[in-house]
Amino acid sequence: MRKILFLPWFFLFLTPLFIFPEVLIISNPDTHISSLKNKDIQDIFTGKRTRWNGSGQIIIATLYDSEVHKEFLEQFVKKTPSQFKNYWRQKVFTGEGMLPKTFQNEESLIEFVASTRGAVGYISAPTDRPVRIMLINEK
Amino acid sequence: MKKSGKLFFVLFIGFAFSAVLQAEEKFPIDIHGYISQGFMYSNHNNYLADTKNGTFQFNELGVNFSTQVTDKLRLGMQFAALDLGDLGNDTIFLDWAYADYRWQDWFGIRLGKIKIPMGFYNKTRDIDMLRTFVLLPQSIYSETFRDTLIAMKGIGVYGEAPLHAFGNISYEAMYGTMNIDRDSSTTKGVEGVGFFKVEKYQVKRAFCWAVTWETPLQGLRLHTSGINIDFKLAAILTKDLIVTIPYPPYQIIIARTGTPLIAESPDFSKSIYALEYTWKDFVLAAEYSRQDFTQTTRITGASPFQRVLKFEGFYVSASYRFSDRFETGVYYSVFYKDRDDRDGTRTPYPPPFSAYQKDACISFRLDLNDHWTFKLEGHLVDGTGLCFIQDNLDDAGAPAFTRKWHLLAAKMTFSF
Repeated sequence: MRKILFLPWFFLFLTPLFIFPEVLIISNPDTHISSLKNKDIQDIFTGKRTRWNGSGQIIIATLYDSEVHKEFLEQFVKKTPSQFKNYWRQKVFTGEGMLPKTFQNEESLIEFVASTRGAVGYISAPTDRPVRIMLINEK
Repeated sequence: MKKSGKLFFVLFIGFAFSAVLQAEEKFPIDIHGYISQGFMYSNHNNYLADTKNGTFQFNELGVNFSTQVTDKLRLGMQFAALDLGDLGNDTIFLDWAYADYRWQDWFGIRLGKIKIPMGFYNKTRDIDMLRTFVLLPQSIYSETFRDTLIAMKGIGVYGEAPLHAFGNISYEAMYGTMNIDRDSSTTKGVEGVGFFKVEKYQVKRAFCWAVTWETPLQGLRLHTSGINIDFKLAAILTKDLIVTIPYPPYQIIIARTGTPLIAESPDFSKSIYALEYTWKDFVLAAEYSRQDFTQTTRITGASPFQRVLKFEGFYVSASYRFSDRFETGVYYSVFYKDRDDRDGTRTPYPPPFSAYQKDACISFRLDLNDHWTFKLEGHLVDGTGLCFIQDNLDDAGAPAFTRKWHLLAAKMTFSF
């Protein structure tokens, strides 16, 4: 009984050690969509969905390995970084797709999304650059 | 033209093509490639190459060019070469080249030479860094028909459709034909019967399809695919065909060496049922396959005779990625030449253990960085159902196999 009472306190104590970066989904402001479902994001970043509703081609932008990249993939795409990389390389080497644009840092990604019609990406913190921050519908 | 000359010519054409398009600045070209070098050693039985002595004749390379012409139209091509024992010999071939028009996400059309979607891994079987193992489970991805079942020329349709609460479904279907090369692994497998030499093939038609369902259970996908080919081959006899009458003992030569023959297989078919479950870094996969065909052989001066083949295979595999760099996997793969005679008691090609091949494999993969991958794996094998007879003849020219044997495979790959 004592052990059972101890467990919640133990996890409560550990919680501050597991602080994950927040992930924000951003798109080019010309995209006439303000919210996405988790499933939409998964479909977009796996190339299953390639067009915005009535507003052209989706161009995805990703980050090189980083905490926010890992967190984004785990939360939305349901893949590890190596699975995500191999998934896209399969498409490249069978002719079924082209690799997503990949950026070394968030500033470059934000710049690309802000200036590229149809672009969508993810960042860890709000920005004052002209991009649309998508609302996420958890369903 | 020498082999190296051809390679440089092809690469020159590819790079020149991309440079011209790049110069236009309208169509940025993506260029990617891979090159891998492997080593195999077996303690008994030569497998796919001269493995009993250890062999480096085990390599692949490929380079591809692709461009997005419009929102909906993409063009691309890949040149490749491989060497596997006496197969391939690093001759450059066009691996795939097609125009892909994606009208909607649920419907697109492809025209050209297209990879065949058999099972989860057929399309990428030549590309080492995309999987955990050096050798894919041979019960499903046998090397015998590798170069026949890798790609076809024709038209294909494909699409992805959301099923909302029921997940996603994707489909592909293709119709066309294919080139089967005289020097292919298919020829080596077919000539294993030992009495004829193939001169050429004619494929009348080929049709294939695949459906993959990503179920609502995150990470679980189910797949089925199939192919049907109508083909025939022209060959010449390499031995006299003799009929023996037991009593009184009497032999009749019904066709002499050099006599032409035609072997028709109007209904070659292969189907696969597959399951894959991914949970974080753990991947579990299983596939089951059947391959059937009836071959009718016609020889001038003799009555036609038929040969019915009923291959069966399955495997179960598991892999786990321990870190960004290190991954390991195991599989158990079983192949039967005749699913009505799994233990080989009725096989016309003794020994009985040549009717099956059961392979337990453990593999280790190390990604040195984003471009370099090294793999090492070991196989414990029972049976020789997938060993080429021609690679395992004794001094008298008779098949010489050992039932239980080990195989070691290693491979280093660079990709960009």
